[in-house]
Amino acid sequence: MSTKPETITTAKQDTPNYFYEFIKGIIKENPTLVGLLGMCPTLAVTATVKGSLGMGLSTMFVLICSNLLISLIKNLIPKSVRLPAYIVIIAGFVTIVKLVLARFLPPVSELLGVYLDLITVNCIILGRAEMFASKNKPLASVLDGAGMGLGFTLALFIMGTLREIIGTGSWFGLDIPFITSPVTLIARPAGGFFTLGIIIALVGVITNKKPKAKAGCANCPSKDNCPTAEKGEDK
Amino acid sequence: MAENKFTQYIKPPLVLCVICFVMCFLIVGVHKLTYVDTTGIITDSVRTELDAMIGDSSDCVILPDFEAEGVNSVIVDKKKHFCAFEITVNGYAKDGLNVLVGIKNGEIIAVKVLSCKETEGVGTIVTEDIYLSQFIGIDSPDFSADIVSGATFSSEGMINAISIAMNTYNERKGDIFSVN
Repeated sequence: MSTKPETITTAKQDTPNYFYEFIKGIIKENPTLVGLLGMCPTLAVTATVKGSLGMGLSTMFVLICSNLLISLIKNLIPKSVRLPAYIVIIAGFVTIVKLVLARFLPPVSELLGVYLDLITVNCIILGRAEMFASKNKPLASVLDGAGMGLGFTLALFIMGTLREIIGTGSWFGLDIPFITSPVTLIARPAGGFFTLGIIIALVGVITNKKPKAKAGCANCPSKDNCPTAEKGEDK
Repeated sequence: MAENKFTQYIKPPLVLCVICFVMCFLIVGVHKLTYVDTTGIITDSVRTELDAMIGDSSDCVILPDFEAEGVNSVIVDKKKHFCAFEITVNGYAKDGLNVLVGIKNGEIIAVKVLSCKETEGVGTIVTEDIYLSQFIGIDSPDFSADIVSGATFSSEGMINAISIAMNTYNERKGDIFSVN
């Protein structure tokens, strides 16, 4: 009985489950809705679906490329300069995305504006570089980047869809006929917080994530010497 | 010992420099692939505005080697005695207004905004036709114009653009419409 968990761990280490690496970022470990990372772009560019998709796909590209490069050269980077090295790599790919978008998709580039540059400091990308790509093989890192990027894009797409439909009565710029009085607040920054809160709550219900139990006095080792514990107050 | 010093002091900055160099190389490559030089070429957005001003802009050309303070480029159609100044001025934002001022026979016939970085709903009022129509018909650098309350910087920027256009026109019309 006791050896069972060990065998599972070793099996996992030897042959990484590529399908799991890809799929985990979409719902179970969704960086935005479960990990609560990358909130700045999530709130800033999701007023329209077009902006959401542009931001999501750009981030996904940077995530895949940076994860691949970092996992390829992970053994060459000294520990002391790993963070500046990761940032340089990420910023490089962001610049490439920016140049390509400005040339081939100028409307999207204008819509995203400064938030395109800010992908550099998106904590999802640096987080995956530090937590995953620097410890895993290239293929697993690419799949992890693709999954996380897809999860991020999906979260932004849902946000963008809800905000654009409710806030402006259109979807992808196409008017929806039966929405006569849109709630403009939802398309504004404050509405972003509302929508995000509701979506996070729904995802929490779906994945059945329970809030952490409050620490009480019952199991506290020093409850005998604690004056507040006698009154039954929580610490 | 020497190896220790190498890994401690020399290797980290060296690796970082190599990474920076490689990324710069990559960016330069992509920039070369994506960059389009538009100097000296009438872009599609400018062409649309010119068509709206004079109907047919096929005879319009950008004046080569024309330099004047504040003017990006001058487009001229000598047959119609028409010229247009492309000007970028500061509004509330730095370089916030990029406008095209069309002058025919010494008189402003249209002012078109090519791009605007001003605050949506406030500074952008000065890019609306209702505001811009007051400049049509101006034929001298001494003119008066309304300033939109709440958008003082944007209004002053727009007025500045018009006076740059009129001043340049008055001082340099000989150069602009010269036969050569």
